[in-house]
Amino acid sequence: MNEDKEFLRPIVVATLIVIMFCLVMLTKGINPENYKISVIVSNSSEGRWVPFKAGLEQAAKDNGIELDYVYTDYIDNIQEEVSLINSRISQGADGVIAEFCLSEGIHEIVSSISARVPVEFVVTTVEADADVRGNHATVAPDNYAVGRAIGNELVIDLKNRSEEESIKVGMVSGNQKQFGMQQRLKGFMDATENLNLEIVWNVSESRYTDEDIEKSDAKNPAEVIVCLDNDSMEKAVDYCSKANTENKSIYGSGCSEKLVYYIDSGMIDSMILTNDFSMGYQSLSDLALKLQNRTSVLEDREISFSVVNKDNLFGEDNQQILFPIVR
Amino acid sequence: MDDLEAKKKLNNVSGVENIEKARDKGEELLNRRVSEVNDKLRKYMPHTIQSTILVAFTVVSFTLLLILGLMLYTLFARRMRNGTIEATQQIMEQSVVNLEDYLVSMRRISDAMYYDVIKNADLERDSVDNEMNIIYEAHKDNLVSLSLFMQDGTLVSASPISSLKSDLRVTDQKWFTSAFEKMENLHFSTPHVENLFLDPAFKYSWVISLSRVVELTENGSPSLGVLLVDMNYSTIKQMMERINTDSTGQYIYLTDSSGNIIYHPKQMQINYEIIKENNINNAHYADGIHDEVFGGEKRQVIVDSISYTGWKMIAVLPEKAYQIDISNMRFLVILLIACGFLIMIFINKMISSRISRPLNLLNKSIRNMENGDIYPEDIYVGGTREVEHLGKTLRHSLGRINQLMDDIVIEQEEKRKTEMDALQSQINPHFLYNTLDSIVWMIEGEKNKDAVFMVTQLASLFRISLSRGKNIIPVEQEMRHAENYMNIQKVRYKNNFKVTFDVQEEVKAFATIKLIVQPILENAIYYGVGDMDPDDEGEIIITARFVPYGDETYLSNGDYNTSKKTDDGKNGLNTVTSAEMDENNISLGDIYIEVKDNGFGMPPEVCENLLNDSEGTKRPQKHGSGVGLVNVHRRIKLRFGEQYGLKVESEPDEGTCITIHIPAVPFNEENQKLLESGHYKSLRNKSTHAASSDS
Repeated sequence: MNEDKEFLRPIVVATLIVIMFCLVMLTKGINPENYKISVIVSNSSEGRWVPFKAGLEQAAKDNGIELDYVYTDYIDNIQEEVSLINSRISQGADGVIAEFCLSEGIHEIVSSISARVPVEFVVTTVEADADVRGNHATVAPDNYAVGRAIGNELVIDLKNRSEEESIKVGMVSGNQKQFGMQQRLKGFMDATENLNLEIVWNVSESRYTDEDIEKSDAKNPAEVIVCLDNDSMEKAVDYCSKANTENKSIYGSGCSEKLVYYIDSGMIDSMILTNDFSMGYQSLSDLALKLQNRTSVLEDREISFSVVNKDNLFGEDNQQILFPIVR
Repeated sequence: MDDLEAKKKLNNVSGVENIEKARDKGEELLNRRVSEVNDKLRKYMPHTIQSTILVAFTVVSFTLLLILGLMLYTLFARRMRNGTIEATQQIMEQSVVNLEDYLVSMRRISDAMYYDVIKNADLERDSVDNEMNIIYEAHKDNLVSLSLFMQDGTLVSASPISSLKSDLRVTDQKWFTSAFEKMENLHFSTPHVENLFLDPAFKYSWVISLSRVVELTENGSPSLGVLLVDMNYSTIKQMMERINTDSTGQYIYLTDSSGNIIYHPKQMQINYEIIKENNINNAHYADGIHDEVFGGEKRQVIVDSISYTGWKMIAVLPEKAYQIDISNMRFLVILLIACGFLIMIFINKMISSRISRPLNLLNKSIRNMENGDIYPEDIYVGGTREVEHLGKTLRHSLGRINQLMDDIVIEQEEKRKTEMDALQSQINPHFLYNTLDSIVWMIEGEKNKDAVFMVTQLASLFRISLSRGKNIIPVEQEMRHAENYMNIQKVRYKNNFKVTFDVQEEVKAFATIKLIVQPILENAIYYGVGDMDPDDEGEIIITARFVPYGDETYLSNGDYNTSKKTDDGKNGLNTVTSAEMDENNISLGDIYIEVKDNGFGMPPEVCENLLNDSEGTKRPQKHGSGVGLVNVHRRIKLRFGEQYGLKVESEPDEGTCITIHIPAVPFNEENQKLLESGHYKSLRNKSTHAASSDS
C-alpha cells in the first residue's frame, strides 16, 4: 500500500494542480486578447484617406483587431498630435499608426511612445533612435522615387519645349517638415534638373495653403503647378477651377476621388498614385502580428505607386486602388 | 630507420590500444549509465498486485477512452462536415436563386426599355427620355444609369441626365464591344467603375453593365445601337456579403465564366497579391462538389452556375472549417480530461483494491505464520475461488504442521520418558540390594576376589548405564554391559545356567541404543532359565551379527536364523528382512542381536502379545526391572524407525528367541550426534520416500 501511495501521489498531485490551473483560467475568462489600434492622421475624414482607411478596415477584420480611427482636423503641431496619441494610449490603445506632422527633433517623443506601445509611421519616416526591440517602423512609398516620378511626367510632357524657354513652375510642396515631402521635393528637382525650370513660387502646406497659392500665383503666375501630396493637389485644382485657368498644367501625387474627377475631366494631366490601401492594410497587419507576438520585430515596408492619367484611369489595376469603396 | 619504423609501429600499436581502451571505457560508461537509468525507472514501476492492476486498468481505460474519443471526434467531424456541406449547398442554392431573380429583373428592365420604348420609337421624331427616366426612377435603387447609344457611340439618351465625358471612346469600352460580338445575347460585364458620365460630386460608382444590341429606327431607317443598363454593383456585393458571414474560414465568391472575379470577400488582398485564389480553375469545374489542394491546404469546392450570365457561384470550404475549434475551449477540455483521469484513477483504485484485498489478507496471514503467532483458523479464507482454495490449503497445511510438531513433541517426550525408565531400571532397588547382598556375603565369606569381581562388574554395569548421559553407545559397550549383567546374575544364580556371547568382531564398532540387551537377558533369566534345575542345563546364547545391504546369500543360507518355518513352508527368513538400503549411506546394513534361551518358553498367545503396549506394561513385575521388552521395542522404533525393533519367537518348553533388529550405523561422533538428536529417523523417512517416488 505504501508503494501505491508513492506511485500515485505525484500523479494525483499533478492532476489536481492542472485542474486548479484550468479552473483559475476558466474563471478569469477565456476570451482571446482583443487588441485595439488607434490611427491618428491629419484631417482624417478627407477623401485622401479613403483608400487608406479601407485598407485599415480590411486588415482589422482579417486580424480581429479593434480599429480606433481617430477623427481629426488639420494637425500642424507635434505636441497636439503627441497629446492625442498619449490620450489614446491611456484609453487602452495597444498600438498606434500615425502620420507625424514633424519628422525632425522628435526622437525622444518617438522613444517615449514606442516604449509603451508599438508604432507604425505612415506616409513619411521620422527621426528616431536605434530601435533595438523593433517597436516602431515605417510603411510608406519611396518618396524620393515619387518625387522623381512627378518630375519624369513633367519631363515627358514638356520634352518638346525649347531648352532656352524656361518653364514657370509653382510648387505646392506639402508639409516640408516631413522627411517624406523633403524627399519628394528633392526627387522632383533631381528628375527635372535638365529641364529649364523656374520655380516662381513655392507654397508649403499650412492652414492657409489655398490663400497662399492664390496670392503667390497672382503675383507670379505659373504655367505648371506641381503638387507633392494629395492635399496640395486638391488645393491647386480648387484654385485652378475657381480662377478658370485652363492653361495651367497640374502634376503631382494624390489618390482622392476628387483628383480622379479632375484627371477624368482633364484638369490634371497625370498623377502619381500611391497604393494607400496597401499602406493601411500592411501597417495594421504588421502591428497586429507584433501585438500577438511581442518578441517579433516591426520592419519598414515600402508601398508601390503608379502613374495614372486620363488614359489609364479606369484600368483594372488602377480602379481597384482608386475606388476601393463600393457605394 | 628500422628504429624509427619500429617506433612508429609501436606508436601505432599503442595508439590502437589507446583507442580500444577508450572505446571499452566509453562502452562501460554507457552501460553504467543505462543500468542507472533502468534502476531509477524500476523504482517507479509497480511492484504490488494492486498497483500493477491499477496501472494496467488506468492505462487500458485511458487508452480506450482516447480511442473512443478520437472515433467519436472523427464521426462527429465527418457528420459536421457533411452537415456543413449540405448547409452551404442550401445557402448557395438560395443565393443563386436570389441572384438570378435580380439579374432577371435587370434583364426585364432592359427588355422593357427595348421592347416597350425603343422599338416603338422613331428617334428622329420621338424622344425616349421620359420613358427612360420613368423606368430609371422605378429602379434607381438598383441602377446607376440607363443609356442608349448609336452604333458609332453617340449618346441617344441617358438617365439620369448627364453629359458624356469628353474625349471618351464609347465604342472601345468592353460592354460596347461585347454587345456587338454576340448581338442576339444580353451581356453582363464584370464589375467596373462607370466611365461614361462625369459626376460633379466627384462620385464614381462600381457597376455591372448589362448591354445588348438594339434595333433603332431613325426616320424610318433601321440601325443598330446599344442599350446599356448599368446595375449598381453594391446590390450584388451586399447580397454576397450576407452569405459570407462564416468565421470558420469558408467563403463564397462569384466569377464570370472565364474565372474573372466578380465578387470575392478578400478581393483587395487578391489584387495586392497578399493572398491567392484558384478562381480560374474553379470556374471551369462542373457544377457540384470537388476536392482540391490549393496553397498546401485541402479544401472542398462547391460550384453552382447562374443562369443567363454564365457566372459561377463558388463556395470554398477549407478542411480546417470542419475541425472543431477547441482553442477557445482548451482549458475546459483539459479540465474535463484531468477530472476524468482523476475519477478513473479513483475508480480503478477501488476495483484493484477489491481484487487484491483477498490476496493481501492471505499474504498477511502468511506473514503472521512466519512470525509463528497464528492458528490455522486465523488464516484468511475468502475472495475468489482460487484465493479461497489457497487459504484452505494453507490452513490445512498449517494444521498439519502444528499436528506434526505436536507429534514430534510427544515422541520426544516419550523417548525421554522411556529412556528415563530404562535408566531408572538400572538402579532398581531389588537388583541393587541383591547384588550388594551378594557382595556382602562374599566379603563376609572372605571371598574377596569374587567380591572385587562383583564390584567391578557392578561398577562397569552402572558406568555403561549412565554413559555420561548419552543414549547412543557402541555395540561393544552394550555387549559389555550385558556381560557385566550376566556375570552378576550368574553369581546370584550360582551358575545354574550357561551364558554364551557370540559377537562378531565387526559388529562391535557399530552404534546402538544403550540398555536394550540387558532387559531381554533379564527376561530370559526370569522367565526362561532362572528357575530351571541345574541338571536341565539352562543356557542363554547371545549372538550379534552384521548383515550388509544386498547380502542375500547371507540371508538365504539361514546361517543366523532359527530354523522356524512359517505355515506356508517357507523359512522364517521373511520375518526378518534386510532393511532398505540407506541411500544416505549412514547405515551400512542391519545388525541382529539374538538372545536365545532354552527355558520354559511362552504359549503362542502370550508370545504374540508380548510386545503390545498394554500387555507389556501390565505384565506383573515379579523379578525384573519393570521396563521390559515393550520399552526396548518402543525405544528402538522411536530411534531408528518402524521397520526396526524386537522380534519374539517362543515355544513352550523349548525356549525363547528374541531378536533385536537395528540398522548398522557405524559409531562415530557424527553418527552419535545424529542418533542422539533423533534426526536419523527423519532422514531415513526422507530417503525412503524418495526411493519409492523414483520407483
